[in-house]
Amino acid sequence: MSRQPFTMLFVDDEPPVRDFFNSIWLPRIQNSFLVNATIAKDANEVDRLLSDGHRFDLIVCDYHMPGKNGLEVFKGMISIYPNIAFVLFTGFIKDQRVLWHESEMKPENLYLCIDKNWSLLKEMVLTILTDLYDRGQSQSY
Amino acid sequence: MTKNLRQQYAKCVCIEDDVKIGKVLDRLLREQNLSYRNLALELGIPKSTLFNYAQNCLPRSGLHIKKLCQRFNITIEELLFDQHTKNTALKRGQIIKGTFTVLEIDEP
Repeated sequence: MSRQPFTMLFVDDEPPVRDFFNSIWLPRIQNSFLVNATIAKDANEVDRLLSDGHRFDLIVCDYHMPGKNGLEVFKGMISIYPNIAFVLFTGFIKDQRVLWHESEMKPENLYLCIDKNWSLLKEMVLTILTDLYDRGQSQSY
Repeated sequence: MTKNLRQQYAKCVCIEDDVKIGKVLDRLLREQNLSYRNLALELGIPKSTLFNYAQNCLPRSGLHIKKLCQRFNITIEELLFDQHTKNTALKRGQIIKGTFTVLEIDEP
Protein backbone atom coordinates (compact mmCIF):
# COMPACT_ATOMS: atom_id res chain seq x y z
CA MET A 1 0.00 0.00 0.00
CA SER A 2 2.77 2.40 0.91
CA ARG A 3 5.28 3.73 -1.60
CA GLN A 4 7.92 4.88 0.85
CA PRO A 5 8.60 3.46 4.29
CA PHE A 6 7.18 5.35 7.21
CA THR A 7 9.46 5.83 10.16
CA MET A 8 8.12 4.99 13.57
CA LEU A 9 9.64 5.26 17.03
CA PHE A 10 8.42 3.05 19.87
CA VAL A 11 9.43 4.07 23.39
CA ASP A 12 8.85 1.86 26.43
CA ASP A 13 11.00 1.07 29.45
CA GLU A 14 9.68 -2.49 29.86
CA PRO A 15 11.59 -5.14 27.84
CA PRO A 16 8.58 -7.53 27.49
CA VAL A 17 6.51 -4.71 26.00
CA ARG A 18 9.28 -3.82 23.55
CA ASP A 19 9.60 -7.50 22.61
CA PHE A 20 5.86 -7.85 22.04
CA PHE A 21 5.85 -4.71 19.91
CA ASN A 22 8.73 -5.89 17.78
CA SER A 23 7.92 -9.55 17.35
CA ILE A 24 4.11 -9.65 17.28
CA TRP A 25 2.49 -6.23 16.90
CA LEU A 26 4.74 -4.53 14.35
CA PRO A 27 4.51 -7.29 11.69
CA ARG A 28 0.73 -6.84 11.66
CA ILE A 29 1.16 -3.16 10.83
CA GLN A 30 3.75 -4.05 8.23
CA ASN A 31 1.10 -6.16 6.48
CA SER A 32 -0.56 -2.87 5.50
CA PHE A 33 2.27 -0.34 5.39
CA LEU A 34 5.98 -0.33 4.90
CA VAL A 35 7.25 0.80 8.28
CA ASN A 36 10.77 1.11 9.58
CA ALA A 37 10.60 1.02 13.36
CA THR A 38 13.16 2.15 15.91
CA ILE A 39 12.87 1.16 19.54
CA ALA A 40 13.99 3.23 22.52
CA LYS A 41 13.77 2.56 26.23
CA ASP A 42 13.40 6.08 27.62
CA ALA A 43 13.39 9.82 26.92
CA ASN A 44 17.19 10.05 27.05
CA GLU A 45 17.44 7.56 24.22
CA VAL A 46 14.84 9.55 22.25
CA ASP A 47 16.92 12.72 22.68
CA ARG A 48 20.02 10.86 21.57
CA LEU A 49 18.29 9.52 18.44
CA LEU A 50 17.02 12.97 17.50
CA SER A 51 20.38 14.60 18.06
CA ASP A 52 21.91 11.88 15.85
CA GLY A 53 19.64 13.08 13.06
CA HIS A 54 16.89 10.46 13.16
CA ARG A 55 13.46 11.74 12.15
CA PHE A 56 10.10 10.02 12.63
CA ASP A 57 6.63 10.17 11.11
CA LEU A 58 5.03 8.70 14.18
CA ILE A 59 5.99 8.15 17.81
CA VAL A 60 4.33 5.67 20.15
CA CYS A 61 5.48 6.35 23.69
CA ASP A 62 4.79 4.86 27.10
CA TYR A 63 3.60 7.27 29.78
CA HIS A 64 5.24 5.92 32.92
CA MET A 65 8.99 5.81 32.42
CA PRO A 66 12.03 6.60 34.52
CA GLY A 67 13.05 10.22 33.99
CA LYS A 68 10.69 12.13 31.73
CA ASN A 69 7.18 10.72 31.35
CA GLY A 70 5.50 10.31 27.96
CA LEU A 71 3.61 13.59 28.18
CA GLU A 72 6.85 15.48 28.83
CA VAL A 73 8.42 13.74 25.83
CA PHE A 74 5.42 14.83 23.73
CA LYS A 75 5.63 18.44 24.91
CA GLY A 76 9.32 18.59 24.12
CA MET A 77 8.70 17.05 20.71
CA ILE A 78 5.77 19.25 19.69
CA SER A 79 7.75 22.42 20.34
CA ILE A 80 10.32 21.32 17.74
CA TYR A 81 8.12 19.30 15.35
CA PRO A 82 4.63 20.84 15.44
CA ASN A 83 3.15 18.32 13.00
CA ILE A 84 4.35 15.16 14.70
CA ALA A 85 1.83 12.36 15.30
CA PHE A 86 2.28 11.08 18.82
CA VAL A 87 0.48 8.23 20.59
CA LEU A 88 0.69 8.06 24.37
CA PHE A 89 0.43 4.37 25.13
CA THR A 90 -0.11 3.72 28.78
CA GLY A 91 -1.30 1.13 31.26
CA PHE A 92 -3.29 2.15 34.30
CA ILE A 93 -3.28 5.86 34.91
CA LYS A 94 -4.76 7.55 37.95
CA ASP A 95 -6.18 10.66 36.37
CA GLN A 96 -6.91 10.13 32.69
CA ARG A 97 -8.65 13.50 32.45
CA VAL A 98 -5.31 15.32 32.43
CA LEU A 99 -4.27 13.37 29.34
CA TRP A 100 -7.67 13.76 27.67
CA HIS A 101 -7.42 17.48 28.22
CA GLU A 102 -3.95 17.56 26.65
CA SER A 103 -5.28 15.53 23.72
CA GLU A 104 -8.18 17.94 23.23
CA MET A 105 -5.68 20.81 23.13
CA LYS A 106 -3.69 19.10 20.37
CA PRO A 107 -6.20 16.84 18.62
CA GLU A 108 -4.21 16.57 15.41
CA ASN A 109 -1.06 15.47 17.20
CA LEU A 110 -1.78 13.64 20.42
CA TYR A 111 -3.59 10.31 20.54
CA LEU A 112 -4.18 8.41 23.77
CA CYS A 113 -4.26 4.67 24.14
CA ILE A 114 -5.14 3.71 27.70
CA ASP A 115 -4.83 0.27 29.37
CA LYS A 116 -2.19 -0.86 26.88
CA ASN A 117 -4.92 -1.83 24.43
CA TRP A 118 -2.87 -3.25 21.57
CA SER A 119 -5.80 -3.73 19.20
CA LEU A 120 -6.92 -0.13 19.63
CA LEU A 121 -3.30 0.96 19.19
CA LYS A 122 -3.26 -0.92 15.90
CA GLU A 123 -6.38 0.90 14.70
CA MET A 124 -4.93 4.26 15.79
CA VAL A 125 -1.62 3.69 14.07
CA LEU A 126 -3.30 2.47 10.89
CA THR A 127 -5.50 5.59 10.98
CA ILE A 128 -2.48 7.86 11.38
CA LEU A 129 -0.50 6.10 8.66
CA THR A 130 -3.48 6.20 6.29
CA ASP A 131 -3.76 9.95 6.88
CA LEU A 132 -0.05 10.42 6.23
CA TYR A 133 -0.31 8.29 3.12
CA ASP A 134 -3.34 10.24 1.84
CA ARG A 135 -1.60 13.52 2.44
CA GLY A 136 1.39 12.20 0.59
CA GLN A 137 3.64 13.43 3.32
CA SER A 138 7.04 12.21 2.46
CA GLN A 139 8.89 14.39 4.89
CA SER A 140 9.71 12.96 8.29
CA TYR A 141 9.82 14.92 11.49
CA MET B 1 -31.44 17.20 28.05
CA THR B 2 -33.90 15.99 30.67
CA LYS B 3 -33.24 16.83 34.32
CA ASN B 4 -32.44 13.21 35.06
CA LEU B 5 -29.96 12.99 32.21
CA ARG B 6 -28.38 16.29 33.17
CA GLN B 7 -27.83 15.02 36.72
CA GLN B 8 -26.38 11.77 35.44
CA TYR B 9 -24.08 13.66 33.07
CA ALA B 10 -22.94 16.02 35.84
CA LYS B 11 -22.19 13.07 38.08
CA CYS B 12 -20.18 11.39 35.36
CA VAL B 13 -18.04 14.47 34.81
CA CYS B 14 -16.68 13.68 38.28
CA ILE B 15 -16.96 9.89 38.19
CA GLU B 16 -16.67 8.46 34.72
CA ASP B 17 -17.38 4.85 35.70
CA ASP B 18 -20.93 4.94 34.34
CA VAL B 19 -19.94 6.20 30.92
CA LYS B 20 -20.34 3.51 28.25
CA ILE B 21 -19.79 5.53 25.10
CA GLY B 22 -16.79 3.37 24.17
CA LYS B 23 -18.80 0.16 24.27
CA VAL B 24 -21.71 1.76 22.39
CA LEU B 25 -19.49 3.22 19.66
CA ASP B 26 -17.63 -0.06 19.27
CA ARG B 27 -20.92 -1.93 18.84
CA LEU B 28 -22.34 0.60 16.36
CA LEU B 29 -19.17 0.65 14.28
CA ARG B 30 -19.11 -3.14 14.10
CA GLU B 31 -22.78 -3.29 13.17
CA GLN B 32 -22.31 -0.78 10.36
CA ASN B 33 -18.85 -2.01 9.34
CA LEU B 34 -17.36 1.44 9.86
CA SER B 35 -13.90 2.45 11.06
CA TYR B 36 -13.18 5.21 13.58
CA ARG B 37 -11.32 7.03 10.82
CA ASN B 38 -14.26 7.00 8.42
CA LEU B 39 -16.70 8.06 11.12
CA ALA B 40 -14.40 10.91 12.18
CA LEU B 41 -14.09 12.10 8.59
CA GLU B 42 -17.83 11.83 7.99
CA LEU B 43 -18.79 13.77 11.12
CA GLY B 44 -15.88 16.21 11.19
CA ILE B 45 -14.75 15.08 14.64
CA PRO B 46 -10.97 14.91 15.26
CA LYS B 47 -9.84 11.30 15.06
CA SER B 48 -7.93 11.47 18.33
CA THR B 49 -11.08 12.79 20.03
CA LEU B 50 -13.16 9.94 18.64
CA PHE B 51 -10.55 7.46 19.89
CA ASN B 52 -10.83 9.12 23.31
CA TYR B 53 -14.59 8.53 23.22
CA ALA B 54 -13.83 4.92 22.31
CA GLN B 55 -12.06 4.75 25.69
CA ASN B 56 -15.01 6.18 27.59
CA CYS B 57 -13.88 9.77 27.68
CA LEU B 58 -17.09 11.70 28.29
CA PRO B 59 -17.61 14.15 25.40
CA ARG B 60 -17.46 17.77 26.44
CA SER B 61 -18.72 18.90 23.07
CA GLY B 62 -22.49 18.99 22.76
CA LEU B 63 -22.07 19.21 19.01
CA HIS B 64 -20.17 15.92 18.93
CA ILE B 65 -22.89 14.25 20.99
CA LYS B 66 -25.55 15.60 18.66
CA LYS B 67 -23.70 14.48 15.54
CA LEU B 68 -23.13 10.97 16.90
CA CYS B 69 -26.75 10.59 18.04
CA GLN B 70 -28.06 11.78 14.69
CA ARG B 71 -25.65 9.61 12.74
CA PHE B 72 -26.74 6.44 14.52
CA ASN B 73 -30.30 7.54 15.22
CA ILE B 74 -30.00 6.93 18.96
CA THR B 75 -30.76 8.91 22.09
CA ILE B 76 -28.18 10.67 24.24
CA GLU B 77 -28.89 8.18 27.04
CA GLU B 78 -28.08 5.30 24.72
CA LEU B 79 -24.91 6.91 23.36
CA LEU B 80 -23.42 7.91 26.70
CA PHE B 81 -24.78 5.32 29.12
CA ASP B 82 -26.04 2.47 26.92
CA GLN B 83 -29.50 3.00 28.35
CA HIS B 84 -32.36 2.17 26.06
CA THR B 85 -35.47 4.20 26.69
CA LYS B 86 -38.53 2.04 26.25
CA ASN B 87 -40.75 3.27 23.52
CA THR B 88 -43.64 0.89 22.96
CA ALA B 89 -45.43 3.07 20.43
CA LEU B 90 -45.42 1.56 16.96
CA LYS B 91 -43.45 3.34 14.30
CA ARG B 92 -44.59 3.64 10.70
CA GLY B 93 -43.30 0.68 8.73
CA GLN B 94 -42.27 -1.27 11.83
CA ILE B 95 -42.51 -5.04 11.46
CA ILE B 96 -43.72 -6.99 14.46
CA LYS B 97 -42.94 -10.69 14.62
CA GLY B 98 -45.11 -13.03 16.68
CA THR B 99 -48.24 -15.15 16.79
CA PHE B 100 -51.47 -13.25 16.58
CA THR B 101 -55.15 -14.05 16.88
CA VAL B 102 -57.33 -12.42 14.30
CA LEU B 103 -60.64 -11.32 15.76
CA GLU B 104 -63.63 -10.83 13.58
CA ILE B 105 -65.46 -7.69 14.37
CA ASP B 106 -69.00 -7.27 13.17
CA GLU B 107 -69.53 -4.01 11.43
CA PRO B 108 -72.28 -1.99 13.01
